[in-house]
Amino acid sequence: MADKKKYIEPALKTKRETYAAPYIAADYDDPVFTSAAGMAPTVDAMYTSMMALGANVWMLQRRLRIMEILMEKNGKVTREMIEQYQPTAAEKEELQKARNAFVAEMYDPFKSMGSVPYATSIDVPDPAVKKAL
Amino acid sequence: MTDTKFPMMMMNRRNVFHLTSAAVTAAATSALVANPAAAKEVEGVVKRLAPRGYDGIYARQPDLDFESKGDFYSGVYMWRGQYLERAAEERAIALCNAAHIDPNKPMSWGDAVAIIEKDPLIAMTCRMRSSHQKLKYQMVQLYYHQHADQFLTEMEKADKLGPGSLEMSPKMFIPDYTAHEIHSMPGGYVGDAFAGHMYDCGTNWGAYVDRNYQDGAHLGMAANTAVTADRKVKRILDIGTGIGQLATSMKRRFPEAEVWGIDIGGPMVRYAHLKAADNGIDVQFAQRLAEDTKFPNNYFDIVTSNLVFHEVNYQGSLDIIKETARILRPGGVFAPTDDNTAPPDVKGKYTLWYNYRWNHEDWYADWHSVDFMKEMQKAGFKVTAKAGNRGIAAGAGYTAIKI
Repeated sequence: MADKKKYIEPALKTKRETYAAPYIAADYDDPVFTSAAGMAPTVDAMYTSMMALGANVWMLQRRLRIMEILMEKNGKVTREMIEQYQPTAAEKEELQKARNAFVAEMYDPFKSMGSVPYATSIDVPDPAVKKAL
Repeated sequence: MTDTKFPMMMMNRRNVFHLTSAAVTAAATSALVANPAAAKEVEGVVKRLAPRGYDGIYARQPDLDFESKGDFYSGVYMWRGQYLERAAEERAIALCNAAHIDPNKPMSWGDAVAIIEKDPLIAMTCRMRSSHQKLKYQMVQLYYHQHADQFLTEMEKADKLGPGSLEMSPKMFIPDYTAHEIHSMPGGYVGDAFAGHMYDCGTNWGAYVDRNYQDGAHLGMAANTAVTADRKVKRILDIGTGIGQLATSMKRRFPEAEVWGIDIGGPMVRYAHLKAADNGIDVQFAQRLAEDTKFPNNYFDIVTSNLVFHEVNYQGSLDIIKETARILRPGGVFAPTDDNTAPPDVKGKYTLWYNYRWNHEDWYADWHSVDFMKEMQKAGFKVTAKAGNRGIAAGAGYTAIKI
């Protein structure tokens, strides 16, 4: 049985009926993982910042691409046109490809980390070199 | 305890203009013409705000930047699944090999944690999962809270419209186990006015990676759901219906059936009704507990559930199985699907631990300890499973027939 003291009120404050009820908050809002691997806890925050930055960069790129499409089609563009634009199937596919390429560019450096020996655990293959070390 | 009920019989205006069936369109138009008062009410209410229109059945996100950030989170989720998780798998195997441990040997979550938790790549994988959850939910919650007035108004109007109906019970008893902030979603299923909106975005930008805006995953589940031997399907219930995607998919497969979707999360079921009614799908949604459904004995022909039991505590699971046996008629089908509970190796075990401890899937351990085959049989089902006791996993599920 959960501890009643952990119940907290819904975050949205309004007099309107929301049908939200008090809930039991998670014990950790945002755990730190990298410190278990010997890194400074701030590295976790940096990973999150990097993802947030990525979201904002992609947001701008996508807006720019839609602006370009509209300019090509209409020769002019308004804020409302950008907001309302429905990409065609081909444009959607192109945007998705561009997004995946952007994500890959951001994160691919981590892709091969599973099979590459870490510097601290490199086993020197040459016996002569090993002896010299 | 039922506090409020909104009977729904109005025709959805969006139906009139968006459904492809000429017959449905003609019937809807005729109903509106025959009843101008209804037409006026429908005119002002049925269509969702959808300031950027629809993509198929999906009301597009309310602004471009919001949509674009969500799109990025989808891409990140996909990349992590395709590449980072594989790299982490390789790393976990390497760590096991270095420690002379068979990575596929049966081991506890604790054993798996001890072997791989301190690895930087494993830590990065966990970090990426948690950052993704944190940022996407934070963004959706912030947006809807900032625009609360307009989106609360949208739901208030939809509460009173159809097709389908909505029964809300704001004073009902909410068991502790259902009130947790499950899978890091702020407020969980019961504690935020926009829980349904968060879940919808969260799953499309997460587990469904862009592929479920048209409910394709749920339509697939509905298509694969076993049918009673006599093929008579008059009533269907989806328990723990969330935002109603399986309930509406079952309705689309069985258009003549009376279909219900129930969930303890008031904001969830409210959003489910908003979406279903907006799409012209006649489902009855109600805020009720799966272990106390309030339906008569032998009432349903089919009961479905998707991704419910891993979010239910041990006793709750047993109670739900018993309640389902009570409300199904003899020969009725119980078709639960859920997460795979049997990942084979050290990395899989560690991921389960992560989900339990750090993604706040607080009932994962309970979910793993329930012997579903045995409990279903005890409750009066004849059970066949394609993949043993843990075959409740989607795609390998049970066929449980009430004896």
